[in-house]
Amino acid sequence: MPTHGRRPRRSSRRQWPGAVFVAPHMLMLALFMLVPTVYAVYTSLFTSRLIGGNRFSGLANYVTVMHSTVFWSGVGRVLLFAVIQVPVTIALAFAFAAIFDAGIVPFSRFFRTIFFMPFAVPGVVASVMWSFLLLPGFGPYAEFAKALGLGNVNFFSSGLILPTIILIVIWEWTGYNMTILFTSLKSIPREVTEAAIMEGASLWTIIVRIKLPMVIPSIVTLVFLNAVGALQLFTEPSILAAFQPQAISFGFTPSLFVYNTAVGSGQYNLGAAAAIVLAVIIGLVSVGAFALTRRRGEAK
Amino acid sequence: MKLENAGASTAEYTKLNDALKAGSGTPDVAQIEYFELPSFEVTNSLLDLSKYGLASAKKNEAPVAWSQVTQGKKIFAMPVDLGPMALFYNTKEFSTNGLAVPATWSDFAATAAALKQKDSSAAITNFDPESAQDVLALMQQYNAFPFTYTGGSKLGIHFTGASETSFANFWQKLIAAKEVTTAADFSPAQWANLDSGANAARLSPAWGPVGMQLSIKKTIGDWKAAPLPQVKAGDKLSGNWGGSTLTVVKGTPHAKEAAEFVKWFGGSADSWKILSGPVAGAFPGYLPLLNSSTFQKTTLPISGTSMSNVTFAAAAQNMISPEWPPIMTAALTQWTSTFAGVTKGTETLPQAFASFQKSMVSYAKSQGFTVSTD
Repeated sequence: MPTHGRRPRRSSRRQWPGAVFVAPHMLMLALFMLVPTVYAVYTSLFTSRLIGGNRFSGLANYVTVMHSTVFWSGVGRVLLFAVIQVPVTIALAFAFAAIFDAGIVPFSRFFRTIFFMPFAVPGVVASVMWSFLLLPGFGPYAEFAKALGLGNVNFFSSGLILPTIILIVIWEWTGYNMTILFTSLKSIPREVTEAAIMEGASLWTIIVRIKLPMVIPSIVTLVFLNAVGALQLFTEPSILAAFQPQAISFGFTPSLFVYNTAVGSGQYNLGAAAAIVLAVIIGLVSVGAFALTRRRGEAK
Repeated sequence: MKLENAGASTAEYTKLNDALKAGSGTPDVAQIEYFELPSFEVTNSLLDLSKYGLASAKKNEAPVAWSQVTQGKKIFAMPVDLGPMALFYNTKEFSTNGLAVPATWSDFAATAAALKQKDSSAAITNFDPESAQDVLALMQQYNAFPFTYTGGSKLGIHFTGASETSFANFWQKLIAAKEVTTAADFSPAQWANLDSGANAARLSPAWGPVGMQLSIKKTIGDWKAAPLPQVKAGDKLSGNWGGSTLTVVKGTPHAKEAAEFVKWFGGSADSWKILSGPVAGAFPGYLPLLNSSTFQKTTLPISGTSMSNVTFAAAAQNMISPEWPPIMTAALTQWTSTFAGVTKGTETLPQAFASFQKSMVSYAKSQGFTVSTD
């Protein structure tokens, strides 16, 4: 097709530098996202057994996952986790970002760094640290709870383990969210704030009525990122399980279910199917969240 | 020679399993506990060492160790250490409260009740329902070992059998009366209980006292070993908790050297000089050492002048050889969540046995085994 050949070639030459910049990312995406996903889908269609070897089993693994009450109770638990953890984290992050942005805190740069530091601590280390801090009978917080007259509080009991993990995750992620919101707030033109001050608006009004609506797009993105992270909750419970095996069950979160099924019980195929189901759930939640925010945006 | 510490127990086995599955990165030699051997045998992952002259090592090994590493004429591992169990008790607590060392399990229950009456804050021992290994060791000794397996695709799972139920009822009664504590094994709480008198005894494997004396302070010298209580008076049965073997992993290019090494490691006086030393503290399955008077007369600070090794060595000769199922990795992974409710008090031990029976049977069937449950 000689006549058609020209135009695409010219345009591809024009886009070529862009493609070079995108290529490493696309390569990584293909290597670490696409290939494993395709492989997981493929694996999930087989069943490998100790007796009888590996054989094609169609959707049997998906049927097992769909009927697994352990898997679905884990899904329910991370949804509950997300419903509490995400709003609290972002509300706290916005509050701190607004306070720092208002310039009413001395040494604000120093404190901003301090607030950001938990994010620099890997989840594994944070979990180990908190499991010592919250240790019943020994840790300082258990002592504190006793001093408050709450008795012997066991932060790792079945009733308190979820709030405990929420606390740890909020501690880890508030600083990160704050930094992003702080940057967004800083990008609001100064004239806006000055005009509001001239009009006699209070600090509270400026923050809630003027600045908050202007950073809503950032907040929407953060809600989305935090929610996806919450549904994949793995590091904190798996580390706590090493210290408090009785508090964290086999399928405490769907990611743990995937791990314990595949690695712990040698059912790699079933684990792959569960991972795909989890990915679909996360995909649906994301699409739903986007649809909701877009519709709201159009309504305005 | 290169050594990789791949973690202990479940962590190591899953790692080794992954390497076998991936077909690369497998070691020449792997240390594997007795209970995990069939899992690797059934997947054809271990070298049959009978071809390398390992049969000559048999005469020097405790029979219970040897029977667990062999299947017919095949030898899948070299036995190293053992964990025969005994009742390790605090002599001062026993004499202060006027308790006699129980000879049977019904004596044991009566002693537990008597102790509770004397001292309401004390419990005779700790029973951690969430720790598969100690529960299974006690079940062996109780003649209630819940698995039957002799290789191949037939597997028996019997957590709800008569003797298993009797075992579960026995311990549930003690748990409910708070005559035993249910702290996590090897937790700071358990050591504190043993040191404060809150626990008067420990159902301990032979390798237990060496570690225990590093974790307690006040009661060093007060402890003494006695045989485990028996179901029937006059019996001398014991169970095995832990203990390990060395295996040669299939696919190694150094099979002959590896076989030579494992034979030396598990069955030579030179190697046992190191293994049984105060640092390693491994308890031998190697008969020349196990039966030697120097070994049996060895004392430990924790047990003062008493000679615990005499009791543990006798226990090593009187163990029932358990038929470990080839699904132990999954069993260990699922055990803790299944039995957590017993510790919390939201379910009983017989209930946990029933639900574990159900999940193990369905797992074994999904893995292609023909499962019998009667």
